[in-house]
Amino acid sequence: MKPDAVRGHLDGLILAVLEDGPRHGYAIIEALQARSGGRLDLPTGTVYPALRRLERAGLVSGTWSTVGGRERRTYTLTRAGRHSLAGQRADWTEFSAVVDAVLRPAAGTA
Amino acid sequence: MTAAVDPVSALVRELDRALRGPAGLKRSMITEVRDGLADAVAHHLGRGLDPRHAAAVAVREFGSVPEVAPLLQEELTARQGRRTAQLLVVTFPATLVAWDALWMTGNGWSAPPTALIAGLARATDVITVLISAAAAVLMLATFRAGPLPRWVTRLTGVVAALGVLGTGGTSLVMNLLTPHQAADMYAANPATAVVIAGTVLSAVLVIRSAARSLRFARAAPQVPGQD
Repeated sequence: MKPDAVRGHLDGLILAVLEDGPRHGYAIIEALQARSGGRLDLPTGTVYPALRRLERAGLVSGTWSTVGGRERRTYTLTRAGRHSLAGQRADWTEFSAVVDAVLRPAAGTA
Repeated sequence: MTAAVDPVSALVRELDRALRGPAGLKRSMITEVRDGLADAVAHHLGRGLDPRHAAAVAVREFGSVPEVAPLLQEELTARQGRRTAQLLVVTFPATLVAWDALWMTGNGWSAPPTALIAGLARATDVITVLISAAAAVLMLATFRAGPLPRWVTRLTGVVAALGVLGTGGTSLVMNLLTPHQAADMYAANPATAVVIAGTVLSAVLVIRSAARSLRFARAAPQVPGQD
């Protein structure tokens, strides 16, 4: 999937992979790749500003900690983030259903 | 592989040079990027790549500086806008309350204020309230999800500058028009020195933050399709 197509949905995708627990930046990138079956063609560097953007909006909280002698910034989904994720899921379900209904070949044209 | 040719170090250095913003936040972002690239290199080493190729692949996957720096700059700029707005929301009402408290607890003017002085005092209060309200709206805007347009940060700088010029200007004129009464009041109430020091300190902090907001909003590179 092309980066331009993903960009508008990146914030929601990040919230989704944080739903099952806190992760640091690269673990989020790995989770995005794993859950998309490696089909997300996204510059990994764009995930870091997206995390800061989500943190600014209060949808995730980031904290520094030292793990194995290395500094790591770990992100956790906030209550507002869970609420936003639920909203984005509902919006996407509705949007994809509408687009699917329009794109589907009309009866008799197949 | 030396540090001079290490593509990861080169990328991090280039990002560091490209970004403008609050020092602590910028350092945090750069450290996080470096940490993430180290993870990526370790991942590719684990897949059996040699160190040079692992670093090259990690950098390629990361994306170019022109691709990533504008997005990081956008957040640095947004945070500076929030800082300036927060500073205004705290310092302007606090200054108003401090001066009002001084008037109420002290001896006040030795003579009733003229209509001009009363009008200037009223204008100072009105400007303070308007600036505080505008700053509160701008601060709330920085909490909205999604990219924050640069003009929000630029506007925090403009509002802060107008606030200091407006309240500072009216206050200065009031003191210049009534030097003796002002001097009497300042001498009669020791707390005046504390309030003046606090007001000047607030003004300096606000002006510095306003200058940063204006500078970082100008530094923010354009991201295609945004702003």
